[in-house]
Amino acid sequence: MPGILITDDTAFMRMTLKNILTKNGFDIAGEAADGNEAIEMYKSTRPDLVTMDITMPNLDGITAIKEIMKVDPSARIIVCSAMGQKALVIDALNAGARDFVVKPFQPDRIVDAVKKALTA
Amino acid sequence: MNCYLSESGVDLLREIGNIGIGNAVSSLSQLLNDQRINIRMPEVTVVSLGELPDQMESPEKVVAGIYVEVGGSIDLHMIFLLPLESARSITASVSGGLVRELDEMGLSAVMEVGNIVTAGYINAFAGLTGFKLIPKPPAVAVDLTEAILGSILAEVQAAEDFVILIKTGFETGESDIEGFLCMIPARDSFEIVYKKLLEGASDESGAG
Amino acid sequence: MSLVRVRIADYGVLRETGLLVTIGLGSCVGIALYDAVAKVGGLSHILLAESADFTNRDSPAKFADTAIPLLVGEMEKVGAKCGRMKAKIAGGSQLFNYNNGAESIGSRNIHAVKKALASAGIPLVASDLGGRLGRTMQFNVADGRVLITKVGQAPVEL
Ligand SMILES: [Mg+2]
Repeated sequence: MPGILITDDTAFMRMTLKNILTKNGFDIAGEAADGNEAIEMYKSTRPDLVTMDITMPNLDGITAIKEIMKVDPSARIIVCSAMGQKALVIDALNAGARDFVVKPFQPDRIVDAVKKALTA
Repeated sequence: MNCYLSESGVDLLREIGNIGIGNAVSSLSQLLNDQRINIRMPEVTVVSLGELPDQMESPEKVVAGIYVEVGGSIDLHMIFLLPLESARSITASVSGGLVRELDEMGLSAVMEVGNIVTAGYINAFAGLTGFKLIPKPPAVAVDLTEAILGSILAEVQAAEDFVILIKTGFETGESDIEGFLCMIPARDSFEIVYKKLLEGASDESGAG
Repeated sequence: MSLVRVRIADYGVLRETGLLVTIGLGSCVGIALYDAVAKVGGLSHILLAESADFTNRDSPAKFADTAIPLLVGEMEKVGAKCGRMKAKIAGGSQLFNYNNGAESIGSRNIHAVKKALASAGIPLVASDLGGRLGRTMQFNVADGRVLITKVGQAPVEL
Protein backbone atom coordinates (compact mmCIF):
# COMPACT_ATOMS: atom_id res chain seq x y z
CA MET A 1 0.00 0.00 0.00
CA PRO A 2 2.29 2.81 -1.18
CA GLY A 3 -0.47 5.46 -1.25
CA ILE A 4 -0.18 9.13 -2.18
CA LEU A 5 2.91 11.35 -2.25
CA ILE A 6 2.02 14.92 -1.23
CA THR A 7 4.20 17.69 -2.66
CA ASP A 8 3.93 21.29 -1.46
CA ASP A 9 6.47 23.78 -0.12
CA THR A 10 4.30 24.97 2.76
CA ALA A 11 3.93 22.68 5.76
CA PHE A 12 0.42 24.01 6.29
CA MET A 13 -0.79 22.89 2.86
CA ARG A 14 0.83 19.47 3.30
CA MET A 15 -1.01 19.13 6.61
CA THR A 16 -4.31 20.18 5.00
CA LEU A 17 -3.95 17.73 2.09
CA LYS A 18 -2.90 14.93 4.41
CA ASN A 19 -5.98 15.50 6.63
CA ILE A 20 -8.35 15.51 3.66
CA LEU A 21 -6.86 12.40 2.08
CA THR A 22 -6.55 10.29 5.23
CA LYS A 23 -10.11 11.20 6.26
CA ASN A 24 -11.23 9.81 2.91
CA GLY A 25 -9.41 6.54 3.40
CA PHE A 26 -6.22 7.11 1.41
CA ASP A 27 -2.75 6.16 2.63
CA ILE A 28 0.07 8.70 2.53
CA ALA A 29 3.29 7.48 0.94
CA GLY A 30 5.24 10.56 1.99
CA GLU A 31 5.53 14.35 1.95
CA ALA A 32 7.88 16.33 -0.27
CA ALA A 33 8.66 20.04 0.21
CA ASP A 34 10.05 20.80 -3.26
CA GLY A 35 10.43 19.31 -6.73
CA ASN A 36 13.75 17.62 -5.96
CA GLU A 37 12.34 15.85 -2.92
CA ALA A 38 9.32 14.76 -4.96
CA ILE A 39 11.51 13.10 -7.60
CA GLU A 40 13.65 11.34 -4.98
CA MET A 41 10.64 10.17 -3.00
CA TYR A 42 8.89 9.03 -6.16
CA LYS A 43 11.84 6.79 -6.94
CA SER A 44 12.09 5.39 -3.42
CA THR A 45 8.39 4.94 -2.58
CA ARG A 46 6.77 4.41 -6.01
CA PRO A 47 3.47 5.98 -4.88
CA ASP A 48 0.11 5.30 -6.56
CA LEU A 49 -0.36 9.01 -7.12
CA VAL A 50 1.40 12.34 -6.59
CA THR A 51 -0.18 15.69 -5.70
CA MET A 52 2.10 18.38 -7.07
CA ASP A 53 2.36 22.07 -6.18
CA ILE A 54 3.90 24.36 -8.81
CA THR A 55 5.42 27.31 -6.94
CA MET A 56 8.20 25.81 -4.81
CA PRO A 57 11.85 26.62 -4.04
CA ASN A 58 14.80 24.74 -5.58
CA LEU A 59 12.77 22.93 -8.27
CA ASP A 60 9.27 23.91 -9.47
CA GLY A 61 6.41 21.46 -9.90
CA ILE A 62 6.21 21.49 -13.71
CA THR A 63 9.89 20.55 -14.04
CA ALA A 64 9.38 17.87 -11.37
CA ILE A 65 6.45 16.39 -13.33
CA LYS A 66 8.64 16.11 -16.44
CA GLU A 67 11.39 14.38 -14.46
CA ILE A 68 9.01 11.94 -12.78
CA MET A 69 7.43 11.08 -16.15
CA LYS A 70 10.91 10.19 -17.42
CA VAL A 71 11.37 7.81 -14.48
CA ASP A 72 7.90 6.32 -14.84
CA PRO A 73 5.83 7.21 -17.93
CA SER A 74 2.72 5.76 -16.27
CA ALA A 75 3.03 8.00 -13.17
CA ARG A 76 -0.25 9.46 -11.95
CA ILE A 77 0.23 13.10 -11.04
CA ILE A 78 -2.37 15.75 -10.26
CA VAL A 79 -1.42 19.38 -9.82
CA CYS A 80 -2.67 21.32 -6.83
CA SER A 81 -1.59 24.93 -7.26
CA ALA A 82 -2.81 28.52 -7.04
CA MET A 83 -1.35 29.23 -10.49
CA GLY A 84 -4.54 28.81 -12.49
CA GLN A 85 -3.23 30.74 -15.52
CA LYS A 86 -4.24 29.09 -18.79
CA ALA A 87 -0.68 28.91 -20.07
CA LEU A 88 0.54 27.16 -16.92
CA VAL A 89 -2.34 24.68 -16.84
CA ILE A 90 -1.48 23.75 -20.42
CA ASP A 91 2.22 23.41 -19.52
CA ALA A 92 1.37 21.09 -16.61
CA LEU A 93 -0.97 18.90 -18.67
CA ASN A 94 1.57 18.72 -21.50
CA ALA A 95 4.22 17.69 -18.98
CA GLY A 96 2.05 14.72 -17.99
CA ALA A 97 -0.28 15.88 -15.20
CA ARG A 98 -3.70 14.18 -15.28
CA ASP A 99 -5.66 16.93 -13.58
CA PHE A 100 -5.23 20.47 -12.29
CA VAL A 101 -6.89 21.57 -9.05
CA VAL A 102 -6.70 25.32 -8.48
CA LYS A 103 -6.22 26.63 -4.95
CA PRO A 104 -8.28 27.53 -3.04
CA PHE A 105 -10.17 24.26 -3.39
CA GLN A 106 -13.01 22.46 -1.70
CA PRO A 107 -11.93 19.12 -0.13
CA ASP A 108 -14.39 17.29 -2.45
CA ARG A 109 -12.61 18.61 -5.51
CA ILE A 110 -9.31 17.06 -4.40
CA VAL A 111 -10.91 13.77 -3.43
CA ASP A 112 -12.74 13.52 -6.78
CA ALA A 113 -9.56 14.31 -8.71
CA VAL A 114 -7.60 11.66 -6.80
CA LYS A 115 -10.29 9.01 -7.27
CA LYS A 116 -10.60 9.75 -10.96
CA ALA A 117 -6.85 9.64 -11.56
CA LEU A 118 -6.50 6.37 -9.63
CA THR A 119 -9.20 4.59 -11.61
CA ALA A 120 -8.19 5.89 -15.03
CA MET B 1 15.23 60.68 -14.20
CA ASN B 2 11.68 59.93 -15.20
CA CYS B 3 8.98 59.44 -12.60
CA TYR B 4 6.20 60.65 -14.82
CA LEU B 5 2.99 58.71 -15.14
CA SER B 6 0.38 59.92 -17.61
CA GLU B 7 -3.31 60.01 -16.77
CA SER B 8 -4.02 57.08 -19.07
CA GLY B 9 -1.16 55.20 -17.41
CA VAL B 10 -2.69 55.75 -14.00
CA ASP B 11 -6.11 54.62 -15.30
CA LEU B 12 -4.61 51.49 -16.74
CA LEU B 13 -2.81 50.57 -13.52
CA ARG B 14 -5.93 51.30 -11.51
CA GLU B 15 -7.87 48.92 -13.74
CA ILE B 16 -5.23 46.22 -13.27
CA GLY B 17 -5.45 46.82 -9.52
CA ASN B 18 -9.23 46.50 -9.67
CA ILE B 19 -9.22 43.23 -11.55
CA GLY B 20 -6.34 41.90 -9.48
CA ILE B 21 -7.84 42.66 -6.08
CA GLY B 22 -11.24 41.42 -7.24
CA ASN B 23 -9.86 38.00 -8.06
CA ALA B 24 -7.54 37.95 -5.03
CA VAL B 25 -10.43 38.73 -2.71
CA SER B 26 -12.64 36.07 -4.27
CA SER B 27 -9.88 33.56 -3.44
CA LEU B 28 -9.60 34.94 0.09
CA SER B 29 -13.35 34.79 0.53
CA GLN B 30 -13.35 31.09 -0.42
CA LEU B 31 -10.56 30.49 2.08
CA LEU B 32 -12.65 32.24 4.75
CA ASN B 33 -15.76 30.12 4.16
CA ASP B 34 -17.37 32.57 1.75
CA GLN B 35 -17.25 35.58 4.05
CA ARG B 36 -18.22 38.82 2.42
CA ILE B 37 -15.16 41.01 1.83
CA ASN B 38 -15.23 44.68 0.84
CA ILE B 39 -12.62 46.10 -1.49
CA ARG B 40 -11.14 49.57 -1.14
CA MET B 41 -10.62 51.49 -4.37
CA PRO B 42 -7.14 50.97 -5.83
CA GLU B 43 -4.77 53.90 -5.46
CA VAL B 44 -1.98 54.44 -7.94
CA THR B 45 0.90 56.64 -6.81
CA VAL B 46 4.49 57.35 -7.66
CA VAL B 47 6.32 57.51 -4.33
CA SER B 48 9.88 57.97 -3.18
CA LEU B 49 11.41 55.04 -1.32
CA GLY B 50 11.30 56.98 1.96
CA GLU B 51 7.59 57.77 1.58
CA LEU B 52 6.55 54.19 0.81
CA PRO B 53 6.01 53.03 4.44
CA ASP B 54 3.76 56.03 5.16
CA GLN B 55 1.39 54.79 2.45
CA MET B 56 0.43 51.88 4.73
CA GLU B 57 -1.15 53.49 7.79
CA SER B 58 1.27 53.60 10.73
CA PRO B 59 4.76 52.46 9.77
CA GLU B 60 5.56 51.59 13.39
CA LYS B 61 2.73 49.04 13.55
CA VAL B 62 3.62 45.34 13.76
CA VAL B 63 2.24 43.42 10.79
CA ALA B 64 2.62 40.12 8.98
CA GLY B 65 4.17 40.80 5.59
CA ILE B 66 4.32 38.43 2.65
CA TYR B 67 6.58 39.26 -0.26
CA VAL B 68 6.32 37.57 -3.66
CA GLU B 69 8.70 38.25 -6.51
CA VAL B 70 7.10 37.59 -9.90
CA GLY B 71 8.90 36.89 -13.17
CA GLY B 72 7.93 35.57 -16.60
CA SER B 73 6.67 37.97 -19.28
CA ILE B 74 7.39 40.93 -16.98
CA ASP B 75 8.92 41.46 -13.54
CA LEU B 76 6.90 42.73 -10.64
CA HIS B 77 6.71 42.58 -6.85
CA MET B 78 3.69 41.75 -4.72
CA ILE B 79 3.38 42.84 -1.08
CA PHE B 80 0.61 41.51 1.15
CA LEU B 81 0.34 43.16 4.59
CA LEU B 82 -1.94 41.96 7.38
CA PRO B 83 -2.32 43.44 10.87
CA LEU B 84 -1.40 40.75 13.43
CA GLU B 85 -4.97 40.21 14.57
CA SER B 86 -6.09 39.71 10.98
CA ALA B 87 -3.26 37.25 10.33
CA ARG B 88 -4.27 35.26 13.43
CA SER B 89 -7.96 35.26 12.45
CA ILE B 90 -7.16 34.09 8.93
CA THR B 91 -4.87 31.35 10.26
CA ALA B 92 -7.54 30.10 12.65
CA SER B 93 -10.13 30.17 9.89
CA VAL B 94 -8.17 28.33 7.19
CA SER B 95 -7.00 25.68 9.64
CA GLY B 96 -10.50 25.02 10.96
CA GLY B 97 -9.40 26.28 14.36
CA LEU B 98 -6.36 23.97 14.55
CA VAL B 99 -3.76 26.75 14.34
CA ARG B 100 -4.34 29.90 16.38
CA GLU B 101 -0.88 31.35 16.95
CA LEU B 102 1.70 32.66 14.50
CA ASP B 103 4.16 29.89 15.38
CA GLU B 104 5.91 27.88 12.69
CA MET B 105 2.70 26.26 11.45
CA GLY B 106 0.83 29.57 11.78
CA LEU B 107 3.40 31.38 9.64
CA SER B 108 3.28 28.53 7.14
CA ALA B 109 -0.50 29.04 6.91
CA VAL B 110 -0.03 32.81 6.45
CA MET B 111 2.52 32.08 3.74
CA GLU B 112 0.14 29.76 1.88
CA VAL B 113 -2.70 32.28 2.15
CA GLY B 114 -0.27 34.88 0.75
CA ASN B 115 0.61 32.49 -2.06
CA ILE B 116 -3.05 31.91 -2.95
CA VAL B 117 -4.16 35.55 -2.64
CA THR B 118 -1.26 37.02 -4.64
CA ALA B 119 -1.76 34.25 -7.23
CA GLY B 120 -5.39 35.38 -7.54
CA TYR B 121 -4.16 38.88 -8.32
CA ILE B 122 -1.52 37.93 -10.86
CA ASN B 123 -3.70 35.25 -12.50
CA ALA B 124 -6.26 37.97 -13.25
CA PHE B 125 -3.49 40.25 -14.52
CA ALA B 126 -2.21 37.41 -16.73
CA GLY B 127 -5.72 36.78 -18.06
CA LEU B 128 -6.10 40.45 -18.97
CA THR B 129 -2.80 40.72 -20.79
CA GLY B 130 -2.10 37.22 -22.07
CA PHE B 131 1.18 37.31 -20.12
CA LYS B 132 2.62 34.33 -18.35
CA LEU B 133 3.40 35.48 -14.79
CA ILE B 134 5.38 33.11 -12.62
CA PRO B 135 5.78 33.82 -8.90
CA LYS B 136 8.64 32.68 -6.70
CA PRO B 137 7.72 31.07 -3.39
CA PRO B 138 6.54 33.68 -0.89
CA ALA B 139 8.69 34.99 1.94
CA VAL B 140 7.01 35.90 5.22
CA ALA B 141 7.98 38.10 8.18
CA VAL B 142 6.29 39.54 11.26
CA ASP B 143 7.70 42.95 12.17
CA LEU B 144 7.27 46.72 11.88
CA THR B 145 5.73 47.81 8.59
CA GLU B 146 8.71 50.05 7.87
CA ALA B 147 11.24 47.27 8.55
CA ILE B 148 9.34 44.91 6.25
CA LEU B 149 8.99 47.44 3.44
CA GLY B 150 12.64 48.53 3.75
CA SER B 151 13.75 44.92 3.48
CA ILE B 152 11.52 44.39 0.44
CA LEU B 153 12.88 47.54 -1.24
CA ALA B 154 16.39 46.21 -0.69
CA GLU B 155 15.40 42.84 -2.18
CA VAL B 156 13.86 44.70 -5.11
CA GLN B 157 17.30 46.35 -5.32
CA ALA B 158 15.46 49.61 -5.82
CA ALA B 159 17.72 51.09 -8.44
CA GLU B 160 15.25 53.91 -8.93
CA ASP B 161 14.48 56.52 -6.30
CA PHE B 162 10.75 56.32 -7.01
CA VAL B 163 8.46 53.33 -7.38
CA ILE B 164 5.01 52.96 -8.90
CA LEU B 165 2.73 51.65 -6.19
CA ILE B 166 -0.65 50.10 -6.96
CA LYS B 167 -2.25 49.82 -3.54
CA THR B 168 -5.43 47.89 -2.92
CA GLY B 169 -7.10 47.07 0.37
CA PHE B 170 -9.89 44.92 1.73
CA GLU B 171 -11.89 44.35 4.90
CA THR B 172 -14.46 41.85 6.05
CA GLY B 173 -17.76 42.97 7.50
CA GLU B 174 -18.14 40.68 10.50
CA SER B 175 -14.72 39.42 11.52
CA ASP B 176 -12.60 42.60 11.30
CA ILE B 177 -10.04 41.10 8.97
CA GLU B 178 -8.30 43.75 6.89
CA GLY B 179 -5.16 44.08 4.83
CA PHE B 180 -3.31 45.64 1.94
CA LEU B 181 -2.27 44.01 -1.30
CA CYS B 182 0.21 46.06 -3.30
CA MET B 183 1.95 45.65 -6.61
CA ILE B 184 5.18 47.36 -7.60
CA PRO B 185 5.98 46.76 -11.27
CA ALA B 186 9.65 46.74 -12.22
CA ARG B 187 10.52 49.87 -14.15
CA ASP B 188 10.60 48.40 -17.67
CA SER B 189 7.51 46.31 -16.96
CA PHE B 190 5.13 49.22 -16.89
CA GLU B 191 6.02 50.24 -20.42
CA ILE B 192 5.54 46.68 -21.69
CA VAL B 193 2.09 46.47 -20.08
CA TYR B 194 1.14 49.87 -21.39
CA LYS B 195 2.10 48.96 -24.95
CA LYS B 196 0.45 45.57 -24.81
CA LEU B 197 -2.90 46.81 -23.52
CA LEU B 198 -3.20 50.17 -25.23
CA GLU B 199 -2.11 48.88 -28.59
CA GLY B 200 -4.64 46.07 -28.12
CA ALA B 201 -2.33 43.39 -29.44
CA SER B 202 -3.50 40.77 -26.95
CA ASP B 203 -4.17 37.45 -28.69
CA GLU B 204 -5.40 35.74 -25.51
CA SER B 205 -8.93 36.89 -24.96
CA GLY B 206 -10.57 38.59 -22.03
CA ALA B 207 -10.07 38.56 -18.33
CA GLY B 208 -10.42 35.10 -16.86
CA MET C 1 12.75 69.24 22.12
CA SER C 2 12.83 68.64 18.40
CA LEU C 3 12.28 65.20 16.94
CA VAL C 4 13.49 64.47 13.44
CA ARG C 5 12.30 61.33 11.69
CA VAL C 6 14.86 59.84 9.34
CA ARG C 7 13.26 57.81 6.57
CA ILE C 8 14.62 55.10 4.31
CA ALA C 9 17.49 56.42 2.15
CA ASP C 10 17.59 59.67 4.12
CA TYR C 11 19.55 61.35 6.93
CA GLY C 12 19.15 64.00 9.62
CA VAL C 13 21.51 66.28 11.56
CA LEU C 14 20.86 68.06 14.90
CA ARG C 15 22.97 70.20 17.24
CA GLU C 16 22.88 70.59 21.04
CA THR C 17 19.53 68.90 21.64
CA GLY C 18 16.80 66.79 20.07
CA LEU C 19 16.05 63.25 18.98
CA LEU C 20 16.92 61.69 15.65
CA VAL C 21 14.63 58.71 15.11
CA THR C 22 14.51 56.03 12.46
CA ILE C 23 11.69 53.49 12.64
CA GLY C 24 11.99 49.94 11.48
CA LEU C 25 15.45 49.08 10.25
CA GLY C 26 15.18 45.66 8.64
CA SER C 27 18.02 44.78 6.32
CA CYS C 28 18.76 48.53 6.30
CA VAL C 29 21.46 49.91 8.60
CA GLY C 30 21.17 53.03 10.77
CA ILE C 31 24.41 54.96 11.30
CA ALA C 32 24.60 57.40 14.25
CA LEU C 33 27.64 59.70 14.15
CA TYR C 34 28.40 61.92 17.15
CA ASP C 35 30.87 64.71 17.86
CA ALA C 36 30.63 65.03 21.65
CA VAL C 37 32.65 68.28 21.75
CA ALA C 38 30.50 70.18 19.27
CA LYS C 39 27.39 68.24 20.39
CA VAL C 40 26.49 67.51 16.79
CA GLY C 41 24.72 64.29 15.90
CA GLY C 42 23.83 62.81 12.54
CA LEU C 43 21.74 59.75 11.67
CA SER C 44 21.63 58.02 8.31
CA HIS C 45 19.31 55.17 7.17
CA ILE C 46 20.91 53.26 4.29
CA LEU C 47 19.11 50.75 2.08
CA LEU C 48 21.89 49.25 -0.02
CA ALA C 49 25.61 48.52 0.25
CA GLU C 50 27.68 49.85 -2.65
CA SER C 51 26.72 52.64 -5.07
CA ALA C 52 29.12 51.17 -7.63
CA ASP C 53 26.65 48.31 -8.21
CA PHE C 54 24.04 50.72 -9.57
CA THR C 55 23.90 53.12 -12.51
CA ASN C 56 21.49 55.54 -10.83
CA ARG C 57 23.31 57.21 -7.93
CA ASP C 58 21.02 60.25 -7.63
CA SER C 59 20.48 59.68 -3.91
CA PRO C 60 23.78 59.22 -2.11
CA ALA C 61 21.94 58.67 1.20
CA LYS C 62 20.71 55.32 -0.14
CA PHE C 63 24.12 53.58 -0.23
CA ALA C 64 26.54 52.90 2.64
CA ASP C 65 29.63 54.09 0.78
CA THR C 66 28.15 57.46 -0.27
CA ALA C 67 25.87 58.10 2.73
CA ILE C 68 28.69 58.32 5.28
CA PRO C 69 30.77 61.00 3.50
CA LEU C 70 27.51 62.90 2.88
CA LEU C 71 26.55 62.77 6.57
CA VAL C 72 30.05 63.76 7.70
CA GLY C 73 29.97 66.76 5.35
CA GLU C 74 26.54 67.91 6.60
CA MET C 75 27.68 67.60 10.24
CA GLU C 76 30.84 69.58 9.54
CA LYS C 77 28.67 72.40 8.13
CA VAL C 78 27.24 72.90 11.64
CA GLY C 79 30.51 72.72 13.52
CA ALA C 80 31.43 69.05 13.88
CA LYS C 81 34.89 67.71 13.07
CA CYS C 82 35.30 64.33 11.41
CA GLY C 83 38.32 63.55 13.60
CA ARG C 84 36.18 63.78 16.76
CA MET C 85 33.28 61.65 15.49
CA LYS C 86 32.37 58.26 16.89
CA ALA C 87 29.90 55.82 15.31
CA LYS C 88 27.13 53.59 16.66
CA ILE C 89 25.32 51.40 14.16
CA ALA C 90 22.29 49.09 14.19
CA GLY C 91 20.27 46.98 11.75
CA GLY C 92 21.26 44.60 8.98
CA SER C 93 18.88 41.84 10.00
CA GLN C 94 17.20 39.23 7.85
CA LEU C 95 13.44 39.43 8.34
CA PHE C 96 12.36 37.11 5.57
CA ASN C 97 12.81 33.37 5.70
CA TYR C 98 14.90 32.98 2.55
CA ASN C 99 17.19 30.02 2.42
CA ASN C 100 18.97 30.51 -0.87
CA GLY C 101 22.45 30.28 0.67
CA ALA C 102 23.55 33.67 -0.65
CA GLU C 103 24.87 36.34 1.73
CA SER C 104 21.87 38.32 2.99
CA ILE C 105 21.39 41.95 2.02
CA GLY C 106 21.57 42.89 5.71
CA SER C 107 24.95 41.25 6.06
CA ARG C 108 26.25 42.96 2.91
CA ASN C 109 24.99 46.29 4.25
CA ILE C 110 26.81 45.79 7.58
CA HIS C 111 30.11 45.04 5.82
CA ALA C 112 29.76 48.07 3.56
CA VAL C 113 28.99 50.39 6.50
CA LYS C 114 32.00 49.15 8.48
CA LYS C 115 34.21 49.59 5.43
CA ALA C 116 32.96 53.13 4.81
CA LEU C 117 33.45 54.10 8.48
CA ALA C 118 36.99 52.74 8.38
CA SER C 119 37.85 54.67 5.27
CA ALA C 120 36.50 57.87 6.86
CA GLY C 121 38.62 57.10 9.95
CA ILE C 122 35.60 57.08 12.29
CA PRO C 123 35.82 54.58 15.17
CA LEU C 124 32.86 52.23 15.67
CA VAL C 125 32.14 52.27 19.40
CA ALA C 126 28.90 50.28 19.66
CA SER C 127 26.58 48.24 17.50
CA ASP C 128 23.51 46.00 17.52
CA LEU C 129 23.44 44.03 14.29
CA GLY C 130 22.01 41.05 12.43
CA GLY C 131 19.46 38.54 13.66
CA ARG C 132 15.86 38.18 12.45
CA LEU C 133 14.17 41.27 13.94
CA GLY C 134 13.67 44.84 12.80
CA ARG C 135 14.96 47.71 14.95
CA THR C 136 13.96 51.25 15.82
CA MET C 137 16.79 53.65 16.66
CA GLN C 138 16.46 56.79 18.83
CA PHE C 139 19.53 58.99 18.98
CA ASN C 140 19.63 61.64 21.71
CA VAL C 141 21.88 64.43 20.45
CA ALA C 142 22.24 66.04 23.91
CA ASP C 143 24.33 63.15 25.22
CA GLY C 144 25.01 60.81 22.29
CA ARG C 145 22.99 57.93 23.72
CA VAL C 146 21.29 55.59 21.24
CA LEU C 147 18.28 53.50 22.23
CA ILE C 148 17.42 50.40 20.21
CA THR C 149 14.00 48.76 20.37
CA LYS C 150 12.93 45.49 18.79
CA VAL C 151 9.47 43.96 18.55
CA GLY C 152 8.70 42.02 21.72
CA GLN C 153 12.05 42.76 23.39
CA ALA C 154 13.31 45.11 26.09
CA PRO C 155 15.10 48.22 24.72
CA VAL C 156 18.90 48.19 24.58
CA GLU C 157 21.11 51.25 25.01
CA LEU C 158 24.20 51.72 22.86
MG1 LIG D 1 3.72 26.60 -3.10
